[in-house]
Amino acid sequence: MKSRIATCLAALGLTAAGCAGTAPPTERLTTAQASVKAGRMLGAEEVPQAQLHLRMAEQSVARAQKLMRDDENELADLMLQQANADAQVALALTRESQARGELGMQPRQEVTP
Amino acid sequence: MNTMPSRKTLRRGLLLALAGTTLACGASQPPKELADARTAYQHAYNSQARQLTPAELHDARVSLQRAERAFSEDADTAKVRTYAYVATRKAQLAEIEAQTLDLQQRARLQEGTRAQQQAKEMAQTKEELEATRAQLSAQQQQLAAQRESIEKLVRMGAASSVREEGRGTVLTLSGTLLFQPGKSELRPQARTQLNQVADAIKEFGNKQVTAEGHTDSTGGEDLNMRLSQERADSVRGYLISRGVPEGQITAKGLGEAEPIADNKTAEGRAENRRVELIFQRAPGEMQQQTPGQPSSPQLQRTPPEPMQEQQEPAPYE
Repeated sequence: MKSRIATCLAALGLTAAGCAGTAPPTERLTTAQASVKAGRMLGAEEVPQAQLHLRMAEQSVARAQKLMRDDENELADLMLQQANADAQVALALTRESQARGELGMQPRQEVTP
Repeated sequence: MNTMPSRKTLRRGLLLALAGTTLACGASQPPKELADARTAYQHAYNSQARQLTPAELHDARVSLQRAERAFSEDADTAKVRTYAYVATRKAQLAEIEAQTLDLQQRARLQEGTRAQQQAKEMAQTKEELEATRAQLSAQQQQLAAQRESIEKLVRMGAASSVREEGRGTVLTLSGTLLFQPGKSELRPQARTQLNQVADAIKEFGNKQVTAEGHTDSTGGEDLNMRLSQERADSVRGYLISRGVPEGQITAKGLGEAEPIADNKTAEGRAENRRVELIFQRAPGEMQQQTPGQPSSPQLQRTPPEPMQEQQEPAPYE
């Protein structure tokens, strides 16, 4: 009896671990898309480094959408986490560049890895 | 002939190399993303982020720990790589935001310095303006005082009129009052008048004064010229004797050449017999305009009657 439940649970766990059963990360997708949009609106495309991260975020979002269509929701979720992280960096770089401009300084030379 | 390695050997070498890589990246070897994340966090930790964005730095640390945990559970999965990737970005984020804060602080500081500088300049300008204004006001006061002293001469009867001309302030002294007809010696009574004039000139400081003698048209031209010169000299000599510096006053006779009234009437002739004292305007000195007195202010004591000592102050015209 006990062992049967354990087997059941293990089976459930396996299903969960396998990509098939995970719910589509729609919320994270929305967040990532909003972040990319915000980055563009704040002028991330004018700042080379920010533009790079914005593009990486966009690519990750696109990849995540494809994975979601393929029902690879877990992988899609991971991809969206990357997208969000890049979008945040793009936003921060844009703000930094603006602060630099207000000081009348040259754009930053140092490049983030 | 064939120095190039054959395709077969090349492929074998490639396989060997790949195998080597795989072996090297065994269970204990972290994926590149995790190595990057560790470096990025270390970098952020050693930056100003520790002071300026500690919360963001903490997030980055949590993120890195999550990646490390995932790695210890399962060495090389998509999850480990993503977590590490996110941890790298978070570390960068902490550093960038610290940099932004630093820039903003510097901007505020610069703004403050600029405002201070501006305030300083403004205060200086204001000070200069006030000094100029004070100087101007002093100058005006001096001019007003000078004008007042001349006008007083007219009121007290020492002179018959005062007027402003381009060349300066012209004070007219009646020849009839000063001299016996046809003579250039001063009447004794004229001295009282000229004493007042001398005082007024001394009040004017170093202003150049010209004494100009004029006659009416009776008598010969030569005689009139000589008489006018002698009368001007006489006035000048007396004023010098009353303390006016010699170099400050000059005399010249103009004869009958510049009448100010009709020579056909006795009254007109009396007006034409005169000595004018011209107080030369200093270069750049503005013509004094007293309120209520239009363009050519003229104060006149009328009529110039001979042989009269003090008179009632004459009203302004």
